[in-house]
Amino acid sequence: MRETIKEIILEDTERILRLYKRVIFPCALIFATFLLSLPPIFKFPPYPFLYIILILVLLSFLFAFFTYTRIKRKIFELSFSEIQKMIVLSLFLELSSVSLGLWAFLSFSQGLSFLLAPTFLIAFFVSLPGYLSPNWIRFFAFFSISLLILIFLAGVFNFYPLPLPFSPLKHSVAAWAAFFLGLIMVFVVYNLMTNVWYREYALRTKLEGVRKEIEKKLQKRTKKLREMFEETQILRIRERARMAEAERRAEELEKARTALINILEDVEEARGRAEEERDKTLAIIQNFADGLLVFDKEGKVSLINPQAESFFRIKKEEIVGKSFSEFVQLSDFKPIFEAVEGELKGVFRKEAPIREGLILEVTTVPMMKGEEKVGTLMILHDVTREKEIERMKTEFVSISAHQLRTPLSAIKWTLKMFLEGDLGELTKEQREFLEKTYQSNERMINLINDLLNVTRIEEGRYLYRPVLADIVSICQSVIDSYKEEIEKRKLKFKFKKPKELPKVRVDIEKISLAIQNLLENAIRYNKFGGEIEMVLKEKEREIEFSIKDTGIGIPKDQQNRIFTKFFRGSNAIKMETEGSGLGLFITKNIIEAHGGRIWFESEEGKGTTFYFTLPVAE
Amino acid sequence: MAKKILLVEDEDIMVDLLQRKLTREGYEVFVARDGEEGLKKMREMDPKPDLILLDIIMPKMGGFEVMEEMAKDESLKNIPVIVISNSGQPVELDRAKKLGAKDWLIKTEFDPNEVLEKVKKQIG
Repeated sequence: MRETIKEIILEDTERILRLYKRVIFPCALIFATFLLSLPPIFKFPPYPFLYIILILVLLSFLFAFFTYTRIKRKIFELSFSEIQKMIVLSLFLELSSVSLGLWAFLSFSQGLSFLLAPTFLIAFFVSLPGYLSPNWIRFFAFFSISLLILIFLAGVFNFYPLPLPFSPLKHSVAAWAAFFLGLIMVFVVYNLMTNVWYREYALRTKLEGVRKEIEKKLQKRTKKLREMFEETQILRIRERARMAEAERRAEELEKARTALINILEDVEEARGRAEEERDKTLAIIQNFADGLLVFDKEGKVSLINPQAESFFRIKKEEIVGKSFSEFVQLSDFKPIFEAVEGELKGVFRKEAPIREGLILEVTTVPMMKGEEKVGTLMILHDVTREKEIERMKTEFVSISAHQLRTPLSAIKWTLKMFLEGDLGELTKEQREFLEKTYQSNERMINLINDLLNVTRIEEGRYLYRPVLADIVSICQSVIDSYKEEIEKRKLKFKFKKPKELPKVRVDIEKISLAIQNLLENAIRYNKFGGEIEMVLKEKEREIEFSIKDTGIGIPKDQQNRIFTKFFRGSNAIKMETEGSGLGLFITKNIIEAHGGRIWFESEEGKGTTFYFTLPVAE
Repeated sequence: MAKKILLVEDEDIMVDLLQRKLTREGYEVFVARDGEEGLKKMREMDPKPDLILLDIIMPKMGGFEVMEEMAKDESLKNIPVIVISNSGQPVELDRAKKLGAKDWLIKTEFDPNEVLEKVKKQIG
């Protein structure tokens, strides 16, 4: 754009320069020559300032000319603002030279100075349109006005009578010539200048337009840009919000992922643990020495371990899923079915002879999950060997008892028949001896009974058949059998019991034996005429039995050995030579086999109190 | 008519004592010295004995076997049996009861009078 303007300026400048070379300088030279030749014509003394003005006018023209030359020459080197400044300067020089020339001409030609003001006025008008006119119409308007003023002035000077000092102007040919010459110059310069000015103006306008357009475009662009920017900004904000949202989401996602991973890990861990637990349980079940059968809620077999498989000579696949009621059709299972009476209820150690050489003990346990029954566990314990040992033991004890007791029974019965006179009358002496022999034989029998009891205790199956029983009546029957003995020794016996006592689950024979042992001790090791107090008390969920005597007591240093097999207190041995030392041992075993406790309090020489407890039957 | 008691017992002295005691009380006592003999006798006897006093540990055939055989025999299974033994383990008692024994007594713990009481209780 600027380059185009520069080209236009260059073009104009060339034209101006041409004008200078061809018109202005010749005209100016002619005009100067003319002016310099005027004094002799008008016989006016030449004014020195006129020459100065003329020189100034010429110099102005010269300067303007050189300025244009410079513009022309350096137009592509100079900046646009420099060109503008130079054009303005050259225009000013031209204008001032024209003004000065006119002024000098007029004032000189009239020899008067009153024309000075209108000349300036004309110059003013002439110069105006160049700065103000945007188009040719205005230019012509101003041009016409200024021309008319000049013509009017000329007419005033030439065609109307003028008062002195204007009268000499009237018919002066030189004045007309000078006037027209000046007019031509004004026209030329004016034309030239307006042309240049216009060009300049047009350029400026154009420039302005361009600038405005650019500005407009710029504004538009800016606006658009701003809009875009704003939009971008909004977008960016949105984007940022979105990003933040996304980040937040990502964070949440990450958290969720972490949580999930944690959960997964937990689950994995729990699963691992559960698996481990399951494997462990399975391993236990698989390797359990007892046979195990697991029934589900519906009573169907859900699990069988290898041991149980071998018991029944059956494969897992054949039995799993079968219901318990079908057992009756399977020969090997039938005894089990019968042992538990055809129902999957809780049974404890029921014997079931499966076949020759295999006896199982069946225990069923309901598997509870809280309150709900989820199945039944059947434990099958192989008791074949135990049974065999038991059988052998029974046989052994039986034979021992037979072998040991048979002669004693024979002696007992014979003596008894003698003593009762079945075999004829006896003398007093004979009777006494036989009675003593009978007593000795009884002691022998008791000792053997104790020994057999010990054997059975050690066998671990001492309790035979626990039944619900009333402890008071058991005590009473034991007491009854010792009445004579008590009376004989003049002992004061007391039996204290509450009105009501809960029943106990005991083996009556064995509990009787235990109480008997304690009572016997209380009698045997009491002093003559001493006291015995038997007490029954109900404690929390158990019954406490105690028997207190006023006997020899147990020496402190021997108290911890009192329940051991064959042990007898040193003072007891001195007092009573007989005694196996098995009574308390048997008693303790009986009580403990019933789930009770036994203990004593004793002071040597004062007496002993034995206590035991029995759990109350539920 | 005297009630018939079959005493199955291998111990001489016991046989003597019981036989004497029971005979004195008015019972007719038959004796067998072992299980086999006892079983044979009770099968031969007609009428059948009213009561059998049976020992457990005997030569040839024990008391339990005798009772098992009796249980199989329609003519014998209703004869009351009192076991007289030197042993009295719960297992044995139980087995005897299952086989139909009416009572059980351990020789060392009873005397002939008490045996008599039990006999009377069974057959009057």
